[in-house]
Formats: sequence, structure tokens, C-alpha cells
Amino acid sequence: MTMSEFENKLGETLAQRAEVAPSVAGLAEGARTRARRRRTTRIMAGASVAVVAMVAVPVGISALSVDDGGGVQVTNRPSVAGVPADWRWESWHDVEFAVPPAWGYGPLSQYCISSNSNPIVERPGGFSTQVACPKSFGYGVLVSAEGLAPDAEDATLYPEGATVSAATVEGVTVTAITADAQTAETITGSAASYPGADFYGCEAEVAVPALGDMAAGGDFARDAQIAVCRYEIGADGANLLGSEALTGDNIEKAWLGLDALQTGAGPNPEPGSCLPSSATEAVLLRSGGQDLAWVHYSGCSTHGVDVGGAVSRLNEQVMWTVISPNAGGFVSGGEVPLPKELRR
Amino acid sequence: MLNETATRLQVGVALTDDFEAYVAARGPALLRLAYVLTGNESDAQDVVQDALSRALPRWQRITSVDDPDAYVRRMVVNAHVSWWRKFRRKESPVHEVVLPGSQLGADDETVTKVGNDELWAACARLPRDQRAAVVLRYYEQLSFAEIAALTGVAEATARSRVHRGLGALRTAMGVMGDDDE
Repeated sequence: MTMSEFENKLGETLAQRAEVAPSVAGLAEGARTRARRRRTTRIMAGASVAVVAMVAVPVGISALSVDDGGGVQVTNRPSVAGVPADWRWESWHDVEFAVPPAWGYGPLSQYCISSNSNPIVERPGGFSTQVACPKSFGYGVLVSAEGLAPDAEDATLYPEGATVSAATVEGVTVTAITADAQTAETITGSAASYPGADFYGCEAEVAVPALGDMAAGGDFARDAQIAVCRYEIGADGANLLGSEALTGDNIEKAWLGLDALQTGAGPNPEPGSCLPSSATEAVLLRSGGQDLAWVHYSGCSTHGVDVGGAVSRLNEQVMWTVISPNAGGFVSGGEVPLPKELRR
Repeated sequence: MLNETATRLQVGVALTDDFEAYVAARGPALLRLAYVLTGNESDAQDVVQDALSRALPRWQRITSVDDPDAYVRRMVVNAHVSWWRKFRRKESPVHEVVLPGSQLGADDETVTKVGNDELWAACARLPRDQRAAVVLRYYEQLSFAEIAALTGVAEATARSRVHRGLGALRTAMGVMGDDDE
């Protein structure tokens, strides 16, 4: 049998089998019922997180997670059935998913990683260390842009007995590696694209105004929640890398940092050293549905804070606010005033 | 505010009608694709219904920006390939396999059917990514570039999966004939 004959036979076999596929009756109604089950009010306990990475030039930032028991925020966004109310929502590009509140951040596809470590969320980018060991995965969530689910051939890289669950949405694959199947399926079941803005009010794609071009906002309530939206700036716009909501004392600290900006001092001097190959990131602070400030702190472009109508130099307090625990990129140490400890 | 609500409701009605029409028109083809991907009725219905339920809340966006058929087909294929289904269903039904080559070469209808059963069973044993690639190539008649776009991999990867899947099927069927490609 030639290859062509075999291919024809294969096509015929598949076509014959397809004819006994199930009926379409009830399909639309079944889909609507499933969709309705996913809609309920979502209540999210704000979880702000932890740690510390000290700085070299450039500095890699990673974090481990501790729930600080921040305030509770009620949103009008629909929820996903089966997601516990205290879980935290994570976004990357136009996909969001939920994870248990105590999970941290960092390189999940780590070398020498221990399955005993606290589960972590890894976004694309970041870095790995301890490369002398064989590569392996700990528990947590891996976000990848390739739209590829894990390959069965990688099974030996995962912790013994782990459940590995993956969902691909809009070309983004969210892979959960957990000790129990229910947690993994809840995480991947929650993965979905979001219309307009994510759970915290950050849009997936934005046009980043150049320093000094941000439109001035109106009045801001100083006790209102502040969203921290972190973007990677590319040639065609900026894509969301991560987001969170500041609650409780962190809101006050954010305002203190903005109040401490030296108005009229202009942006930072042009970066003397930078990594052209690394991503250029900027953070948008939003409050009450309005843009509060754009903070440019990485890459080779000019750094500074634009609060709409005025551009100022970066200060440590503002950097403490904008470096979210979920950040995993690089900043130019020495030229960017980093606090001694990053936000918990 | 009243106008906004009214507009939204009207849009909702139109969307529902549009969605119903889409499912009526394309549902059978989606179910056939899901059936040859999953190999059984319940999984096929589950995969398609799940894909449609996830598409429904975003139907306006999908129909205004994307090709809805491509979008839903991609969701069906990815749902099949994704690991959570593999882990949720520890066992997949696989037909009993006739020993390779034992029935090939005969030309009566019964033997042809046995040969097809054997090939169908061999398909069911392929790794999911290879099976998806083979189905998209030989059932959906897609090009390697189209398979790559649908499954979110490089074209070379799609080509490799098809060739590896085809090779495994030929081995399983005991087909050792000449390659004429």
C-alpha cells in the first residue's frame, strides 16, 4: 500500500466514523445552561504579597507569597462557578484565572525546585537560577504564550503524583500543577478572556502615552482602591503583564509616594545603562475608573512619573507601589530608586 | 441609563438568535470533528458544549472580530488536546485491535470494515497532539499552516506531528509499503 493509498484510507475511515457523531439536539441550550452557571457575583479578598529581592544591576525581582489579610472588595464582574470566594485573580494579556490566595510568584519551571515549596505563579519572562540541577517543575501555575499544553513526554519533570491540568484561551495556556485534582481543575476552569478590563480594572491592551502626554484626570477619592496595571511596551502598543488592587494601608502609602513627587523636576536623566534586549515595562495606576499616573521605570526610554499635566522623577515610595509582587522583570539598578524591601 | 439598558437587552436578543443560528448550522460539523477527535459520543458532546458555553458570553466580540467558526473549532481542538481532560478521564475507550496485517490484503466488504476498525482503534491510541494533527489533516483536509494556526504551534511542529502520527498508524497497521510522498 502506497503512502497515498494509506492516506486515502485514513481519510475515508475518519469520514465514515464522523457520520455516527451525536445529534445537535439540545446543544445550544446545554451551552447556555453551562454559561449561566458561570455567572454569579464575585467577591475577592484582597491579597497582597511578599518579598524581597535585593538589587544588583540590573535587578531581578521575584517574590514569595504571604496573604496579609487585606480588605475585601466586592465587584460586579461575573464569577466562575466553583471558584472559592477568597481566591486571587491573575491576569496576563487578555486572559485571567484564579489561584488560592496564599500562592506566591516566581519561576515555577525552576532548576532544583522543591515540590515542598509554596505553590507559585509564573508568567512568561522572568528568570531561573541554580542551573546546575536538572530542570523540574514545582507546584503552581505556569502561563505560556505558545498555546501549548504540556507534553506527556515532560511527565517526569513534575512532582510525583501531581495533577497537571492545562487550559488554552486565546492562545494563552494556563497550566496548573497541584497535589490534588480539584484545585488544578478549578484553576484551569476559571481561565477565560475578559471583556474590556480584568478583575482589577486593567485593560489587556493600551496605548501608552509618552511622558508628559497623559491626560489629566478629575478628582480622586484618596481612600478608593488603586489598581496597579503592569504593561510590556511593544511597537504596536502595550500588553498587560499583571495586575493587582491596592487596598488598606497600601492605598495611603501609594498616595504618600505620589505626594512626595517633586513637581516640575522633570523626568529622570536619560538612562546611562540599560538592557535593550529586555522588555520595557511601565505601570499604570488607576483609581475610580480614571488614570492616576503612568510610571516609566524600565528599558532604555526616559524614566519618570506622569500624573497628567506634570512629569516628575521616580522616587522610592512610588517604586514601592508599582513593583507588584507579581513582577518578574528587570529594572536598571542605580538609576531607578528602589526601596530596600519590595512590597509584601 | 434607561436607553443603555434597553440597548443591551436588544443586543442580547440579537446575540441569542445569532448564536442559535450558528449552532444549528455548524453544530453538526463541530460534533463530527469532536467525535473523530475524542472517539466517543459523550466526550464529543462535552467538548463542543463546553466550547460553545465559553464562546457564548463573548459572542458579540467573536462575531465582530474573529471568524466564529475558526474560534470555536480552535476551542474544540484545544479542549481535546488539553491535559485536564486527559487527567479527568483516566481511561479512554479503545477498540480491541486486530493483529497488524492479519486481515489486510483481502478485498471483501467485511475485511475492509475490519481494516477500518483497526485503523480507527490505532487512531485512538495516538498521543492526543498527534491525533488532533492527523484528524485536522485527513478529516478536515487542512494545510499544515492551517493546522499550526489552529493548534497554536509552529508549522514545522504541525508537520512533524502529522508525520509521526501517520508513521505510527502505518506501523500499527503493518503497512510497510513505499513512501510516494
